Amino acid sequence: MVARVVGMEGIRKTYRMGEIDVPVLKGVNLTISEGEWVALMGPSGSGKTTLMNLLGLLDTPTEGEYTLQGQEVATRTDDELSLLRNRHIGFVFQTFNLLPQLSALGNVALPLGYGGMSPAEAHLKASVQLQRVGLSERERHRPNALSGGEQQRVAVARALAGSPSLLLADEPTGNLDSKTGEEILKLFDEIHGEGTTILMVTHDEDVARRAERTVRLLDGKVVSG
Amino acid sequence: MSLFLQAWAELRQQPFRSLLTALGIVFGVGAVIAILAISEGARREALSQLDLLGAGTIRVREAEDSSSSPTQGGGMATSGVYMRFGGGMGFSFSSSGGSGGPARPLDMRDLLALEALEGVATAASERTLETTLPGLFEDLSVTVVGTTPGYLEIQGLALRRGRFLSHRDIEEGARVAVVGPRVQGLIFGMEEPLGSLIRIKNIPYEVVGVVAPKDWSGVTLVQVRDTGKDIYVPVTALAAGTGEFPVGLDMILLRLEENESPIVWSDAVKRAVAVGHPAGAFEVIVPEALLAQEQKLQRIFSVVMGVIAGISLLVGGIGIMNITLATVVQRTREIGIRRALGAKRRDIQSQFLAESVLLSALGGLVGVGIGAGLAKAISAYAEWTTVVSPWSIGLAFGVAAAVGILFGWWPARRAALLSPVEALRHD
Repeated sequence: MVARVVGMEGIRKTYRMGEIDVPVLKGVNLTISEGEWVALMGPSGSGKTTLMNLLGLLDTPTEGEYTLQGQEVATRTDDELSLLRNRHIGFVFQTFNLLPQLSALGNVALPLGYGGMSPAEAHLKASVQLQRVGLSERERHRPNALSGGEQQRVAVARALAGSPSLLLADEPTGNLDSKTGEEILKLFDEIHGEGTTILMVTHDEDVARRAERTVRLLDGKVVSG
Repeated sequence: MSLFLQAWAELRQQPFRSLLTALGIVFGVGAVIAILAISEGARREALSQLDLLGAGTIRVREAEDSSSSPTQGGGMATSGVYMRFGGGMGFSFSSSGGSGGPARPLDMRDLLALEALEGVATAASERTLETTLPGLFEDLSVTVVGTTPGYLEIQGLALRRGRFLSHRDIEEGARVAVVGPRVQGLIFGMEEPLGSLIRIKNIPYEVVGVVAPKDWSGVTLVQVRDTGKDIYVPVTALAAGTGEFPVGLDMILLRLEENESPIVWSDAVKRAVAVGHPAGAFEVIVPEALLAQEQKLQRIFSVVMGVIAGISLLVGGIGIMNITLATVVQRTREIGIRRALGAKRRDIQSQFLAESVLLSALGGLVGVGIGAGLAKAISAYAEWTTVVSPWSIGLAFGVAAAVGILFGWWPARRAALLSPVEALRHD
């Protein structure tokens, strides 16, 4: 039996907009096993972003159970959530979200520093990660000196630096041309091959087909997958 | 440490903005340093003046300008404090009564009366006569001082050669003289002064001693003369030809017993003098009192300047708060990214706090430099003594850092409390 990384059970998320409660997630059940690559699809407003935020421990559900690597994480303090994010979650964003004032190396070392690693050690490990995504030559470059594809590679290296249990990618190819996007997807193939568990939000059926499984979300509920 | 390196990297991104932000702190700290340097300089100058004039000494003399000194009605001697431009400040008192007075309002009886006061250790007279003596190259104007043995010690003078006047010299009216260093140099040159004769008003005096030079230039509280061209002779000898009795004096100098307060004793001195001279107008000069007066003004100056510096620091602090708030808004997305990567609230808070503290501390550093420069400029132009002491640098620097913490805390806290989701959504 393969270990379960994510277990969501009856997850609800309701936002309060003034006087009105707006339910966004209406009881989501989701399981992701170790080493799985899951694509998350759904139209705008279906609750994809909210689900990603909950999975990534950036937000807490209104109701329901969420276990990450066997730990109940639905109700944790802010500090505990920060620690869990640092240890278990790697984020890759559509807009790369690198810090412009830091070099590629500095960006990759950032989460390691927050994990308590010494700067020297963090830089060493970051350097290894950049090598892994093929950017050894670009360590000292600032993000604005890198192409979009290179920036996204740095972001992937940063997400993987702390060996997370779950890599969350939010339309990682959405801001890239198809050729560069293909390169990034190849990189995802590779890291998936190395055993990383991936959940990727996408609009693109072709992209989704590379995943092992596609979870479709509609009106705050999982409709297939 | 890496926190501050990181903060430094951030501040360097926008050097001009950082400079402008820190300007309030720079000026505030600069002002604090300059004020403290002026205060410290004034304090040291005061101490050195007190040292030159002699701690625990009192001088009694006729009021320099008795008509303009405040006289209060009534028969009893009253005292008041007055200030005179260009001169010194002092206690003055006068008794109203008869007009006009003797040429020398003080005399030897006053000296004896004052010497008899319990708190007075030594008393000395000063009866001066300005004259000229034939020097080696040209005529030399000298001050002949008719005095008593205690003079040397009260004036803080030292002997270079020979002896000073003795009590016996005074009793006998001996024609002996002790000369100042410049008198020795300009009249005797390389010749042996001791045993030589000098003629003052045609009367020969035997030189028995030479006084060492003393630099009076630090004294601004009262008018002092350069003692280098003094010639000290027994007061009795100087007055011998005049037939004056009792012998009139220009000034009486007193040294109090150790641990006696000259400010306290000045009243007793005034009363003692007033007994013999109900119509005279006297000045009782107490260096400590003059300094207390001056320091009072100094303190007012310091307080006023301190308030200005405080306002500057406050404005500087608000500037830092303002810019930190703006920075937090500007870097909201960055905060979101950092939070997503595992930064705790306190990581975010210390990051922004480090920036504001570093900014104000660097401002403080520049301010210390500017303040020290300002102090030097004041020294050069206003001829005030200024001393930048290490503790004032520490204080100013500490205040600057405290301003950074105080005014950086709230914006940093706001940054830390942002929700990661909201922050990431921010453009």
